[in-house]
Amino acid sequence: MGESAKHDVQETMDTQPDSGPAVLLKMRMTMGAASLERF
Amino acid sequence: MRRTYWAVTFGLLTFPVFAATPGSAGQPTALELDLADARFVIRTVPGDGEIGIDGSAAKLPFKVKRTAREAGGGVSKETIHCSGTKSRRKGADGTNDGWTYELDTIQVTIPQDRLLDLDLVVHQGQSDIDLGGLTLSAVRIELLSGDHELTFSSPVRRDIDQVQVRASRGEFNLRGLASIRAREFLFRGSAGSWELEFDGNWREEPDSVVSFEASMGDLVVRLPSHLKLLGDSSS
Repeated sequence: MGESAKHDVQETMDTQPDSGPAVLLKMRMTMGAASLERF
Repeated sequence: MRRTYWAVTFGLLTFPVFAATPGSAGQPTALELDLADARFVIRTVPGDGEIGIDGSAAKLPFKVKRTAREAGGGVSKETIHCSGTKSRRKGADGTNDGWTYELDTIQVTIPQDRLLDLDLVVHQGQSDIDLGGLTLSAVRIELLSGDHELTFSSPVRRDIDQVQVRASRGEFNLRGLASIRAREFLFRGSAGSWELEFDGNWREEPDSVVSFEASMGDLVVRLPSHLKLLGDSSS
């Protein structure tokens, strides 16, 4: 997984809510680009 | 008991429905939909009737095979294979070695009130799928070799443990994924371009798992901001 996705994940973990429903996100890609967005 | 139905239909005909074997009360019908070589538009409809296949817009012959049987224990299995006919003509843009391919559109309707254990496969074609409002005990979806759009425009009527989506060689736009209301989402694929949007009606508990593995391609995951991210095993 590229640095872009890792950066997105780290950023979202830094700003996410402390309570409420939760999700464990696993992303694996051998070659390519991945990104995480919140809405 | 095994009943097999064969039919070859031509454009301007709507394939007739037949009397399926409903499962016992509380038991899902194991439904396998195997679709190929056409553009499939799949929608859900109110009621507990039969799976509908409408090829009235098809210009070329398409084939439908239906099998329904009792599997014992009150469980019924229903299998539908449907394949269209790809036509090709010389393309002006030089794609596909000078040929372009045209796909007929075939519409499939699935009743919302039937409890289904659904296996859906679409290969060598295109799809525009909306499974919103279905009553599912389990669902596995495979999208191969083509451009595919899958959405759940409204929540399924029953929470499920796991949804599996496999896809390769194509573009895959998946939306309304929260409305599947699964505890675990498994996405697997090889080459392809993915967009996974978890809008819709998120299941509040227990904690959910979203797992994606692919060998090559582009991936965009969109998650609601009210969800807490538990961790990451990106690699």
